[in-house]
Amino acid sequence: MKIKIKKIVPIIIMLFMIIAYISPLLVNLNKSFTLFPKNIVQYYMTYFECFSLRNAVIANHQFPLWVSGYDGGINFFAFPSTIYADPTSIFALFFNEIVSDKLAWAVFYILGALSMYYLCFCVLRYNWAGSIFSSIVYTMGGYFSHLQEESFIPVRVTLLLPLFFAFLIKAKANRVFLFFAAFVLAFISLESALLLPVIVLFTALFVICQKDFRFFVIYICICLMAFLYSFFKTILTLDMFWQNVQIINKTHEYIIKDANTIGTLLYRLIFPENFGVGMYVGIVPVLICIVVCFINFKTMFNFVVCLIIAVWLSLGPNSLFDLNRALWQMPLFGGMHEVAKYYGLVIVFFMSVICGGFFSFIEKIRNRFLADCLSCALIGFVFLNLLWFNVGYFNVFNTTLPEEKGVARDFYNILAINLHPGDESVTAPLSYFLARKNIGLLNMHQHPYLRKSSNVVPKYILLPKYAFLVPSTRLVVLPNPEYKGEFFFLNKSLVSKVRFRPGELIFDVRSLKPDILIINQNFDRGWKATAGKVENHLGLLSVRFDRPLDSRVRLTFLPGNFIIGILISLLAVILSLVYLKKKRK
Amino acid sequence: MKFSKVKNQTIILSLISILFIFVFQAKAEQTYSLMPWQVGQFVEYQVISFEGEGADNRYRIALVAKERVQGKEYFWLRIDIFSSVKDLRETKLKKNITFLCLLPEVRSCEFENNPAAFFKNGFFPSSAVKLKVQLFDGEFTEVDCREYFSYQSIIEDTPYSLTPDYLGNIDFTRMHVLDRMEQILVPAGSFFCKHFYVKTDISRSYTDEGFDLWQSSAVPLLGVVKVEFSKTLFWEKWSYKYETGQIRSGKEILSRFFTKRVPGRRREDTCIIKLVNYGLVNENKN
Repeated sequence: MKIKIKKIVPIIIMLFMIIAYISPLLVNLNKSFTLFPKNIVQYYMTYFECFSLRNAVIANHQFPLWVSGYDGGINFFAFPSTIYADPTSIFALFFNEIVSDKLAWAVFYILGALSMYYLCFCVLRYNWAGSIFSSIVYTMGGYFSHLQEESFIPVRVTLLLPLFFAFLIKAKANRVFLFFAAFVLAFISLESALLLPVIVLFTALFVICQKDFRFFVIYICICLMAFLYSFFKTILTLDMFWQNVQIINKTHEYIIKDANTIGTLLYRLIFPENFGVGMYVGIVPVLICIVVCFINFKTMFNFVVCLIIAVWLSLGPNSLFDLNRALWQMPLFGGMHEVAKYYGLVIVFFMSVICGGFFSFIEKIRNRFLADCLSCALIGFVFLNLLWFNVGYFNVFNTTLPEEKGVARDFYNILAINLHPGDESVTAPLSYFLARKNIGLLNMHQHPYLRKSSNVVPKYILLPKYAFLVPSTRLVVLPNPEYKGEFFFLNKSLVSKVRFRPGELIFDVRSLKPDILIINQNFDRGWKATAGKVENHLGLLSVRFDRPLDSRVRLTFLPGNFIIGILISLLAVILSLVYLKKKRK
Repeated sequence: MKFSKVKNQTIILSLISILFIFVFQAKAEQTYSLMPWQVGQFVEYQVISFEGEGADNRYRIALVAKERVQGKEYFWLRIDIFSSVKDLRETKLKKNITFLCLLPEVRSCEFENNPAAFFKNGFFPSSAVKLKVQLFDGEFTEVDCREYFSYQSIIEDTPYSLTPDYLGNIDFTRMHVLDRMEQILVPAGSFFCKHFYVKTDISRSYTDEGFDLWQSSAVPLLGVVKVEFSKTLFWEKWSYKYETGQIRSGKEILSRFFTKRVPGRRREDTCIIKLVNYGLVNENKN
């Protein structure tokens, strides 16, 4: 009983620290990070995702796949960074956009701290102080809070990275953990987008550093299992890229402005005034990390090598020998132009793990009381320091999102032209507020690998007023003279709408001759029709009727590969459970 | 004798200097005016964002024809709006929309009386007598001006209209002209310009915007050489305390946990419009 209390008390202390850290999030639960008239623009994209998820599930009783208002219609579930596949997005169904987003982050902060504690205490066998220290440096470090403020959603799920490492290391001795590690990696892969290749790369590097071929085989098995577990989403993502892939138009030299130098990296780690990627952990953890790297190099070899390579990669073209250039040629890595942001995750992770090792030196002090006091002082100082400097990220503006007034209109799209490429400051808030009015925006913030333009015809065009030499940031709404409607027959047969929901379209069709029904949405192979043949008509969704027809036609979006993916994922989970049960017996 | 010679020289030099100043000033006043409109005149502008990632969008404004309506002379003004499309090797210009507007000439005297009125409206075609619109490579469609610009409520009906992008406003009554000429270098060349500006007043309101505009009489149409806007507040430099006054001194430490630490308006839409080409061509085919 005593031993249990001894184990539980540090966890409670650590949880208390983390909850104190995230308390501003929970206190101001209904208050927004965005302020009117101020903006933290990226948040509007998160709010857009939360809104469209709730709209699909609660308002339209659908599985959230097709979002009509995003760039002329897209299978949003397939997006590599979507929150749709993340279980914490369930908050979005019951709460508003602000509350659901904050609750999801709070859950991940707590899980992240527990994961790091588990890795350090149970796997790396640090003492309680080292484990708490690593946990608070990892979770309370500026990296996650800064990116939360930036609303960089993919980073949220990577708070579970220590748990994956813990299970990976444990899988070396116990096969059962292979399944756990695979499950965590699959979970991370659902939302982490371009952070996933970084995680896979560095775990592979970590495994290779162990110089154990058997461990490497286990790692490959974990990756394969994770692929199977997440197959229901991965297959859709791969299919989306297959249909829409485009070449990245940025050269490697382009990333230099987002790459670290040793100076900027240290500045970001040590000074709270961030520029670029905020990674503040303070001077103490950085010094401790450097000391441990030198003194404990042999024991910490894997982590130290990984940390050095992570730092090296984050330098990009700023380093004498540009290691990043080799990776740039590979798929996915070519999309990581913000290298400081992507490699920042592993830098912070390995640093946090290495820091905790310092407390094994303190433990060697003969005077136990003095050792405990020193540990507590270090933890207390770093906790207060991180709380003081990083908690500001969670302090929100004292505003809520305005209520939507008026009834939903018939759906149509708007195209904003001649804004700055990738200018989210205009399109992100606009897309969210238009979505609430059942209006789509054709040029939303795009994934770098996806096509840039859609053939969907907008009903209105938005132009910046400065296009007319007027010094103004306002937008001008102009009707499109070429707009023909959201659905029409090429040869003027009769069609009337019965239902127009994101993944389900029902029409009453009356054609006296063969005709083609054009629907003003992007074509996707996942659309199926009860009559006629679904076709791609110049990038638009269309249904060809080869004979006269007078009936109701229903189009539904349910890709065949999604069903196959679900079956394969379910099968993989069931087989794993059966194996685990047998193993337990 | 020597003294009187030096004195004479000084007087002559002073007179020349005074004359030079008068001439220069007269020149400065002259540049305040506009070049008379003539079919074939054109100006071409490039848009670059302050954030470094140049949008490189282009606007071409040209006088393409003349027409008499009820005995009065009007000009057909053509506004071509291009956006730059980048791929690995080159940047191409893609035409998005063209406006053909029938407008009365902007006369120099009208401009001199109230330049702010012209900068406020630019070449916004809502006041055109006739208006034709061409989207991408489609047909020109004649539209009714009043009806065509009456859909603003689509944005105004949404809370987007509360965002700074929409609320942002320039108070043209605060427009000033610098009393000296400035030499401005743009891709089209170097120009001696009048500098018109509105300063952002941070104590007024958050949506207060400003601009800097350089104008030269050597350039056709409105003579705009360069425009910089919007000069909004600096990101991360203004305290929340200053903005809202919500933080009480006694509670300052505690409120750090419950109020936003770093406010500021992040504006990537601020941009520079630069003259890249101008001149006179025979374009009255359209």
